[in-house]
Amino acid sequence: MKEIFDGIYSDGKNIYTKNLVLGKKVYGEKIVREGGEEFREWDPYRSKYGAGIKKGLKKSIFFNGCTAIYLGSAEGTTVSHVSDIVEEKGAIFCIDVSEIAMNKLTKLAEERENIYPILSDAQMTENYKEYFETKADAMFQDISQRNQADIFVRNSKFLKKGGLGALALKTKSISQSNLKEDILKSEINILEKEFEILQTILIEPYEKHHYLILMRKK
Amino acid sequence: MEQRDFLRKQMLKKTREQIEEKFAGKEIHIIKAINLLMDLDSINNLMSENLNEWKTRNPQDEAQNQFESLQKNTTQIQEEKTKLIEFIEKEMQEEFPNFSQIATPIIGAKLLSEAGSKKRLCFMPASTIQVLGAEKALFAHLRKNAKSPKHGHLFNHPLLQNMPRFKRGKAARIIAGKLAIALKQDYFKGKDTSKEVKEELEKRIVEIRNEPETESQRQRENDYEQINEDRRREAFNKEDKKKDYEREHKTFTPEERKAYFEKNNKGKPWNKKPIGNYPPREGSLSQKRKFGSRGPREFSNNYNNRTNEGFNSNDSFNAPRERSYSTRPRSFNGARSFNESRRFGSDKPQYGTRRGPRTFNQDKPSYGNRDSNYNKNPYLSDPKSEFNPSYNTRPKYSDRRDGNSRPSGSSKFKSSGFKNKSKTSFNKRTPRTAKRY
Ligand SMILES: C[S@@+](CC[C@H](N)C(=O)[O-])C[C@H]1O[C@@H](n2cnc3c(N)ncnc32)[C@H](O)[C@@H]1O
Repeated sequence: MKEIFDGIYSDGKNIYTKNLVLGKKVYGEKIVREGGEEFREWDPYRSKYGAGIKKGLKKSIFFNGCTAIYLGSAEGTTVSHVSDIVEEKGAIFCIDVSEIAMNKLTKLAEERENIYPILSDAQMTENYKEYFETKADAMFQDISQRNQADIFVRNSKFLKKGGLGALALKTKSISQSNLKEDILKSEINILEKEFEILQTILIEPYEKHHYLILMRKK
Repeated sequence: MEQRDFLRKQMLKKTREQIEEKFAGKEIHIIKAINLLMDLDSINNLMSENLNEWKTRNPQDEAQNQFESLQKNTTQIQEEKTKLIEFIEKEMQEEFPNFSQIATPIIGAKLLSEAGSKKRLCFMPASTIQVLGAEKALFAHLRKNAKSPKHGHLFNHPLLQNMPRFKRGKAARIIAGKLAIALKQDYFKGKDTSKEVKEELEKRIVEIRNEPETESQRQRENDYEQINEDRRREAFNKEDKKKDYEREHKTFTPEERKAYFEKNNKGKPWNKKPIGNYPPREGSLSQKRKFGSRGPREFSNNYNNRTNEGFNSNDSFNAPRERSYSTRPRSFNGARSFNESRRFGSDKPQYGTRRGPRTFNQDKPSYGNRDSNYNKNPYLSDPKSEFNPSYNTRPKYSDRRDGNSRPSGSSKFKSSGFKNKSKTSFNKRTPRTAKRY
């Protein structure tokens, strides 16, 4: 088991994170024990950040002890791995509109002490700005909305200067007919107001019509 | 660290409360019930449609058994429906005493289901309530420049029935305004003023009904009439429609029909009103389905009438609506498309499908799926092959050479020696290349 990024391990084939809650699976993934430690397999087909890592992400935005914002957390598939990475010292603020998804996430939050759930629309930053008096170190977004890039830029006020951000861009929810390359260009134009683009990855075999965009706040 | 833990617990508690607020509402049961009711309705319609058709074929033995047990099911569904309606009426009375009085429980429940939750419905502006249920038309209006919808689920409101077309929008607006107020009273548990409001509303509606038409309204009405007349003329010209017309009249006695015709049939033949105030044919589609341009889905008559009960009803309120060709369903065997009708095993003639029933010519060879086979089949790609579809339609040389198809002008002046010249000119001409389909 080799550590490729902070808290992310690889055995040459699959990627893993060290399990924070021993013996517990979150979404039916495999658990591998090695050298007295427990690793949870990260399924790139279920998680867009995982897919990005498999496709050669240059730099991981999360690190041990970091404070992260996760927009569009859904049921916590990816969040659970991020929670493994940041460990007890870190914190993940998970924002989602869907009550049904949030219901499952609260159950996860009971087990994992670094998950902070917020039930709110990510477009209404007013609702949760009081939680971010100290700014976050990293921000990740996976929301299938037409104005994805706009939402990301709007929330960037909670990210500290030089902090890393990643956006999983679903091109199909922006336009059904335009080419995904064109959509990517126009969305990058929006993002460049606040961010410096470091890398764009097409995560295609794992998730169709999706890009992962890695950036740093200006 | 302790502080952080405290914050986390607070946040967990807050989100859990928010989730519970969403899930715990009693209205969710009303919403589920009304959705189920609408589905049951369409199931019932489909079933009885098919069964009626089956009945005409005189099912025997096995088929009869099947038929009867299915028919039993339809009556059971009917019973379930009445139970559901009772449930909805009761729950609506409890949850929305004011609102359900004015909107009628069923329409109120439909509005609630469209809004999603009690809170959302109660905080909706009147203008949204007015067009709730007509989302498709509303978005067409916002995107293109289609007309704005006048009413969504409110279309079925007893006070709007039989209102002249150009006053309906106004009336719907006023009802929606009252509904918005009633909803706020219900939400904040205000006092029950539904009786007075209802009386006031009825008075106001009658006022609107009695208002003289304005100039612009009359203009629009005329335009509408013109369009309708065009449509009716078109319809009349179709052979199919004529047959249908005759068929629709079979249910009436000759005397009845004669009296009716003498009374109503003046003017142009396509303006004859074939059905008038007679009840529509039993099981006819127009009774059941009113989608799309014809307005929102309507409930079958039996409980629409129920909801009328609480209102002062003038005779004209409950009079059956006139039916004309333009509101008649397209195809009368219940199928929306040709393919659907085949699936249901009907071989009745199709009305309203543009091409009519497809006929398969047994004599001609089948080319299969032309798109995919065109290049594979050597006959088809060869322009000279007699199997090439364009080959047969192409004019033959021999056809062109006879007098009728000769280009005019040439024959007049060059009568002598014409034959030779024309022959050479035709021979020189390169044959037309096959047109690709
Ligand atoms: C594709 S899922 C995210 C999956 C998740 N990243 C994972 O890998 O496990 C998108 C989520 O975004 C949420 N969402 C959609 N619109 C939103 C909005 N405006 N604000 C916040 N969340 C939103 C949806 O409820 C949904 O749960």
